[in-house]
Amino acid sequence: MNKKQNIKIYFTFAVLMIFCLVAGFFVGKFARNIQDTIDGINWCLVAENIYIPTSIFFVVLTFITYGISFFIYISAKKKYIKLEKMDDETFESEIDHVELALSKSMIISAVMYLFSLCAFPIVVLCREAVEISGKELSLTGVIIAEICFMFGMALFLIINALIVNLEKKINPEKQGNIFDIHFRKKWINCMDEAELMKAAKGAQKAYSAGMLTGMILWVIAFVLMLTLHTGILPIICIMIMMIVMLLVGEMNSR
Amino acid sequence: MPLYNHLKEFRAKLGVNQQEMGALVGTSRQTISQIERGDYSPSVTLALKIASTCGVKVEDIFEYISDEGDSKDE
Repeated sequence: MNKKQNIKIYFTFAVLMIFCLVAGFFVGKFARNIQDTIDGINWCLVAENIYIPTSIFFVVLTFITYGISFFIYISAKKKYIKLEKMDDETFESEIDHVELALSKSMIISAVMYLFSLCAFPIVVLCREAVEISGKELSLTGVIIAEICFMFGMALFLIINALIVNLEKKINPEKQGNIFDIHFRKKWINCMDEAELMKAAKGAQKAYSAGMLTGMILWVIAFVLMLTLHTGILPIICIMIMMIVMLLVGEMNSR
Repeated sequence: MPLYNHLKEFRAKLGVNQQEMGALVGTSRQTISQIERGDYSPSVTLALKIASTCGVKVEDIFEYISDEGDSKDE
């Protein structure tokens, strides 16, 4: 790398830092300005109004996403059964599509599962917010959300077990049971060099995306701390996640 | 990627599918598939194992072609 390229890198870095500084100043100023508006919102009324709609939305979304996930899995399985009866060349050229479909099915179910980790507490929080104000609110929304949360978790495990079983059929060298707490370790141990390389690339991208997301969330959490009085806990949670990612990532890449 | 290969032709000569080829060289069907598609450059060990299984030299299966399109050997 020559001197000119280095100067360009330092210049870009300096511009980025100055931009962050200026942007941070304006975001803070904006947060202080809208604080009065936010303080004027009747959060109790908002919570009361979104309590039941949120739980219904949670149920609908759970059925739609897991439905899509199951549909993709069933289509992939049907395609695999057809391919098994075909010649080697057709099988080899098409089997990657089946595995790609299985990955999509798994991703959809996993995203829904992670979303449900947030949706269920939202419904519980809505009821809590209304109760604190002294109003009575039925348990219906919480019960619906809780059943949906448990049902979604069961569907997530079932779909993942089915996907893993089909993956094991396609690739007989794969081992592990989804219900085993050491599943991920066993699954990774079955990977050969090409798969490990892909997994490492994926992990590296996930690490970069996670750190960038952490920084963006920190800014959002900081603004919310000033405007919605969310306290320091969200910032501490983000910091812990980033420290864990940094330590585990760096210690295992040396 | 500048590494090209003729694995598919050599595998056809052996009369085995990707799964069987993977078993012969101690790797997975997915790795064989990725090598054939040119999505993955195998390690030296795996390349030597593949060549040994096919009964040829590594250079007969794997070919390095520089970005300009000229073979390095030429």
